[in-house]
Amino acid sequence: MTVLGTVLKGAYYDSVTLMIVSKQINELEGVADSAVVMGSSENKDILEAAGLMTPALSSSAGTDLLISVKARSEELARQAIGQAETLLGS
Amino acid sequence: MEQTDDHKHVIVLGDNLPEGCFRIHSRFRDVVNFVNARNDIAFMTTDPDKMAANGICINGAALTDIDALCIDHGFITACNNKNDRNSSSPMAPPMPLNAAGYQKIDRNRAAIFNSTLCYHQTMAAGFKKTIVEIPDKYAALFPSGSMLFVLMPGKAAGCKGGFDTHFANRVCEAADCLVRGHFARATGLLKSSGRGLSPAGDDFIAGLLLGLHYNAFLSGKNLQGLADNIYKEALGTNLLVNAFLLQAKENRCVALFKNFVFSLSQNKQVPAGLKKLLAMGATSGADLLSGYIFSVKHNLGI
Repeated sequence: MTVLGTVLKGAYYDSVTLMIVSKQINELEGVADSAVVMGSSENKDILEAAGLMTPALSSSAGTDLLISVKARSEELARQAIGQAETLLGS
Repeated sequence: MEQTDDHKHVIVLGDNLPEGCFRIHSRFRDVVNFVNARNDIAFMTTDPDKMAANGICINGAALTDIDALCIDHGFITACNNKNDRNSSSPMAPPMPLNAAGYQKIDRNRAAIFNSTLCYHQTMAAGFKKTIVEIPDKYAALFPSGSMLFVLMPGKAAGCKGGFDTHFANRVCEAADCLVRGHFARATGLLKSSGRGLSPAGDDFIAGLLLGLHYNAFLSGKNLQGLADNIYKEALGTNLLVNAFLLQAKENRCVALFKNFVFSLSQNKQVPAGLKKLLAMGATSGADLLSGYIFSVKHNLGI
């Protein structure tokens, strides 16, 4: 399994959008787990405990949006993150 | 600049609007949030159900055209800094900004939204039972992934992902701390954690704070000190969250929640009111209500 993460700086999305994106990413082929959450230190603790933390996410701020994907391969994880960014319109 | 005083549209102002000059913080479909130099949040909406102490509701306003706000004790001025609008603009607003690009509202002529959650003597012990019974009666209405599982432990089994499982474990630990009276530890576990723009843990804390006010009403105890301490512990870097926690600490809440509590007290249209509340955000309404019920059910602070 590979875990990849990306940070959307200072990005605010309503919670319904975040929920839909999370659900769709989790349903993608080869994705074992994912999280689309605000970058608070508390959420980073949870990501760490869930095995979803990456170096890219660790330096984020509380007002950033974090996307983390655990997938069968790096390519699938990268595709899932790209899909999440597309769904968020960023 | 020419001033206008357009009251063709229904304007309702929150009863605890911060003052100052505000720039855009975040913009959503029917809510625009503004922030001033002191990091206070004020918002504009077209939806009366979303009204709160720091809100301005203008029926029919074109929120896409408003870029800044100035609020003082007499007037509210909504500004459009673009100055590039013309008659063919697809964003031509029903509430037009004038030629100078701004709209002025006389606060003395606007209706005021009372955001305080009021209790009266008929809402004593019997009403508490009604609140506590909500999960058993209406569990099916709660959205999946909400914090209902804190009230109905069996629901935690529905967690699928690693993030959700670890979040649920953290919340359950917080719930245990709350019941034991370890409020600071519980707040630390809940704050800023979970999914959503307003993370689920923060929505739950806001519900806890609102529930404390009901517990104070019921017991006659002054729980404001406890509410203040929880609020201070819960403050984080998310200004939207900080704003609604402040309101909850002061027993102020969003219109949807207030309307639901009223319908519950009257035992009228409860499912309809609950459905509207639970449709707030992805799980925000459900998480807020779960915190409120938890606070009341476990007699927090009393």
